[in-house]
Amino acid sequence: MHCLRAAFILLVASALAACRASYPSQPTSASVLALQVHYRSAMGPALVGSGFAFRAYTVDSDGVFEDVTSKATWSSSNSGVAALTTAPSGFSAFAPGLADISATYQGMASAVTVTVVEPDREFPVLKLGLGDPQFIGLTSATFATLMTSRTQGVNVTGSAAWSSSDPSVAAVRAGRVTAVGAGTARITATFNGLSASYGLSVQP
Amino acid sequence: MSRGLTAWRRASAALWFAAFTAVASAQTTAAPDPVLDIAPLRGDLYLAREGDQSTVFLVTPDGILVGDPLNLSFARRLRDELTARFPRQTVRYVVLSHHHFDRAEGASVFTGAEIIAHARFNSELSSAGDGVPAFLGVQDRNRNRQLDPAEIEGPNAALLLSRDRNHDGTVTPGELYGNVRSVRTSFGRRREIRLGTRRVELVHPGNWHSADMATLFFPGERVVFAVDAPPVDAVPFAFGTGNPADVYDWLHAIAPLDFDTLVLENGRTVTAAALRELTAYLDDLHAEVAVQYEQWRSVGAVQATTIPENHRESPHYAGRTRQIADVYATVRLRRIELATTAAGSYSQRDPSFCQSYVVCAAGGAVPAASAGASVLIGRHVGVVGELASGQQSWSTRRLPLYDEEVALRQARGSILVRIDLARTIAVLGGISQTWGDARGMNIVRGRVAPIGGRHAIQHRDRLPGFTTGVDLAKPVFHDRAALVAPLRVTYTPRPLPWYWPSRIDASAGIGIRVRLLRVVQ
Repeated sequence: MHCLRAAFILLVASALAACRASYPSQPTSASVLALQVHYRSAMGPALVGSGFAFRAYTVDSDGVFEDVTSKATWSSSNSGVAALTTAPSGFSAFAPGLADISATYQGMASAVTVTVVEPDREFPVLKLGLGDPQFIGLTSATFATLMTSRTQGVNVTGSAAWSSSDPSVAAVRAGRVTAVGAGTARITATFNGLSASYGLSVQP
Repeated sequence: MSRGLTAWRRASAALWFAAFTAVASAQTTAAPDPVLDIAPLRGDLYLAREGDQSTVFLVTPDGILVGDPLNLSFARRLRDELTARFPRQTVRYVVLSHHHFDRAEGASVFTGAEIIAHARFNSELSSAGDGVPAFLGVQDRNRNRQLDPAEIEGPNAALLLSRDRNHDGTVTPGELYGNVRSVRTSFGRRREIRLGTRRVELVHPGNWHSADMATLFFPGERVVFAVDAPPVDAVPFAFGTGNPADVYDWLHAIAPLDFDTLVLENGRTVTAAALRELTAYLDDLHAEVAVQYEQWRSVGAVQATTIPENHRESPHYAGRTRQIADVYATVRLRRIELATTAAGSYSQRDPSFCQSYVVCAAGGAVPAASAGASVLIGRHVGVVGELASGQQSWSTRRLPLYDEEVALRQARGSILVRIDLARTIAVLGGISQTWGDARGMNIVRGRVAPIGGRHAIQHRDRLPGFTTGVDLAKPVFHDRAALVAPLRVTYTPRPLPWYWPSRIDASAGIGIRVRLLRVVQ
């Protein structure tokens, strides 16, 4: 009789437990951690008269990006050098110099520095062919050429020293740039005291 | 009444002997018609006898009802006797007990009467021409569907030879049934005939002896007249070669009638009390044999008991060994059971589920509950319908930029064939359908929304499968219920949905099985 009673209690308890089984509840939503400004494409020194554009992304605690380019407020720290000319994020270079291109969104801000140069300059100069892998996992080659005149140059890619401002975004070795994570980085090549750099963004 | 019948029995014995002698002598020479003996049974109900065959007739101011008219000769003499004795009454009804030629042939003599028989009379009569009637089948030893000279012997010899119309020594079905006419008036289970204020009930007692049997019940006279009945006057009772189920049908049709005396076609009588005592005895015997049968006891083990315990003083108890064997061989059991079970389940993760994931885990089980209904035919075979719900498992899978958490709740319906190997163990197998309801969430990291971000997962699917299992049972409450421990394994052969972690699912539990309905035939 005790056996029967125990079995009955077990049966009822299990049936109740089965009825009360529930699905996992939804977790709390992710929070936005940062704002990032990305180049539309890899960009070295901008020539006076040229145009360039940017994107702005938020990054939340899940590591998920949201494109807020059209929602962000864009500005230039030096509108004499570079200024916003095309909404939402198209800029034009007007005079040699430096300008910080900033995006502001929901109290967060992010900026990249743009160098504007004259089309004509003195030689020798180190000139970069811009490798832009864009997406995580891709690799692109960047070439460094020592220009001794307007028409003559020597490939010094293998001899130059290469560095990345953020190896978690882009790693560089002997001119080969590999996209590692979403974000913006600056690739710099140095040869015989001459240096050149460009910015790139790895897309999320 | 019984004293009167006994006296009547003694008085008619000499006549009966004379009739038998006359019939026996007919095998060799053309004998005169046997003596027709008419004697009152009770009130206006009479017994007319020829040799070992008899019939009844009821005389009322509104006409006469005759039971089986037997053969042509008997019917003509009976008609003449009725005309002479009751010149102002005519025969209005002739009720045939069944289609066999020895009982029904004389119906055509009563030209003005309405001939009544059971609804299957005509179909049985038409198929009777295919061979020797069942009650003579044992004499057709060479199975040639006729009775050859060497096979015409024994107590029926004179009767059979009288049907050898072409005198070739062989009796064919055509010769036997040549004078039996089909009927126009029939009844199903019961019918009442009224002759003025007098009533006669026709009762179909089942398929004992023939499928078209009719028994006459005379409520006013409290007499039942039954032809070719089971051997209810034998002590101790024996089923013989008959089907016990037909005997039970016959008893349950006749015993409840409100009568005093059962008159058989051979003139012997059985009191209603004796018939009801026999019915109660056989009912109790049957019920107890069925219980023992259901408990998987062998026929020898049942015979070794003292059942039916309440009837140890019955004169039929002496024949219980044979009776038990006959009932045991024909008992038919139908059961409907309801079971409810608490179970836990184990799912074997399919290898493809974790393929290429950095982190992968699946498992967990919320206690499940199942309910099932079984329809069992006999002791061994049944069909089970089961519904299990509440089984729930979770899974976690991760890639460097992908996280996924899913809970899968399953419900399963199964149709299983159950084979009881013993009283305590049964194996099952059949088809099943599993309904899955998956809910959860994934996170795609490092990508721009909406590709990146959190996504709710909600999918439903159903998968066919095969389920097999074992039931271990411990009967309780005198077999009305059982503690049962079911084990089930389900295999899903179809490709699994991406969120479905397992192809093989096993569950085990404990529960209670209750017998809802039990029918013993």
